[in-house]
Amino acid sequence: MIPIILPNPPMCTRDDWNKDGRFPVGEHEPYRDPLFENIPFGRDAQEAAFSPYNAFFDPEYKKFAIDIVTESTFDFPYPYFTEKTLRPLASKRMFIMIGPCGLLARLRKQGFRTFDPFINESYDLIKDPGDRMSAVLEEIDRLCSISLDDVKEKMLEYKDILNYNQKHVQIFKTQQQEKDKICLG
Amino acid sequence: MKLMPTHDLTWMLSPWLRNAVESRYNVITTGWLALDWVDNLNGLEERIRSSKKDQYDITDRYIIMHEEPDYYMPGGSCGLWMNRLLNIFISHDIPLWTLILIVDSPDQADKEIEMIVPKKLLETNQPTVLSKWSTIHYAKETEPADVDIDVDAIRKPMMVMMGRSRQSRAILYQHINDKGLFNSIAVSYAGKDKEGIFVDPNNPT
Repeated sequence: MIPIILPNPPMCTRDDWNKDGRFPVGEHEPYRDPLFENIPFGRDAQEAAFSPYNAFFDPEYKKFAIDIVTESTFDFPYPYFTEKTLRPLASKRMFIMIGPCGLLARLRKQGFRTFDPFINESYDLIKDPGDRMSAVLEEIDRLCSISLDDVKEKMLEYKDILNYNQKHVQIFKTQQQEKDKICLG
Repeated sequence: MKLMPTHDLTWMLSPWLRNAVESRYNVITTGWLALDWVDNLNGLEERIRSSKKDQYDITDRYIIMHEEPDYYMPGGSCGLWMNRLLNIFISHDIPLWTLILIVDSPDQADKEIEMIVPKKLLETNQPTVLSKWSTIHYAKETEPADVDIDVDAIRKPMMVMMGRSRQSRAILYQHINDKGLFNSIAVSYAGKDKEGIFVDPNNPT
């Protein structure tokens, strides 16, 4: 068989799904909430600071109950996740995913637990990226209408799940390392 | 160009994997597939081609970090970068068993390898696929802090941390801005896709 060599992929965005302009977006200047004042600011610096295994993320991260995780991809052929998704799991936080279809289903399949019914997670299985984005934004709006005290109460209600997820991150990582050791021979 | 010491195993791998690799293998070359970092695919191909050996020892390995999500044709199930990378090895007649590939989704990578590499060739010539989750440099081997959930410390219900510019992030930011949700959501958004300054997480100063 003669191998087919494709050219370098075009350096376009992965975001063609919004080309009909359903969600008009402009260019925005950098913005940072004052609550983030103690972390470095920069495109990668902030991601590094909030990396789930980083020693200095915790004091800042505990100021919030729900992490809106904006994964690397949104319109993608399979549920792809990175260390960003690990962040709330490893740090006992609830989360909403701005990511590919089926991401929560994949996490559940891998043993993690999510926060239905407090968070309406029906957006996860919506295949059309535009419809999925609308559903996520709608859910974010709904959560914003809940008082801070009620959110805190819910967090205590889901305490067992939050503790479980953190332990499961370690189990998952150990399993992955064992697999990798076997692969290396 | 970011100040990033690429092609250095100290940066690419976590300590346990680096030890495992260095004690078992002779690393011929390393590569880092990412959108705007050092390795474009042509550069990587050139480095692999120029380091090609006439005969490979059983311990020889190329280590490639597939740092970014791949590109897919509409309806396609096979990543373009993955296709190109494997075909660099095939077209230069370099055995695929010399390749250690580090990815975010090993299961998906295995599927794609099966799609790209002819079955006959793959039977005796399988690359090694490892998970980025447990291998990348910043996945330190310490456990996350097992702190109690302290609801009194919570200052806002939600937070969102948005780094590199993506359309989904821009839409979210626009929505938060339009609806005035900053009181409920703490936002950090790098905004326009400006060049960031890389901070070594092991040495943030």
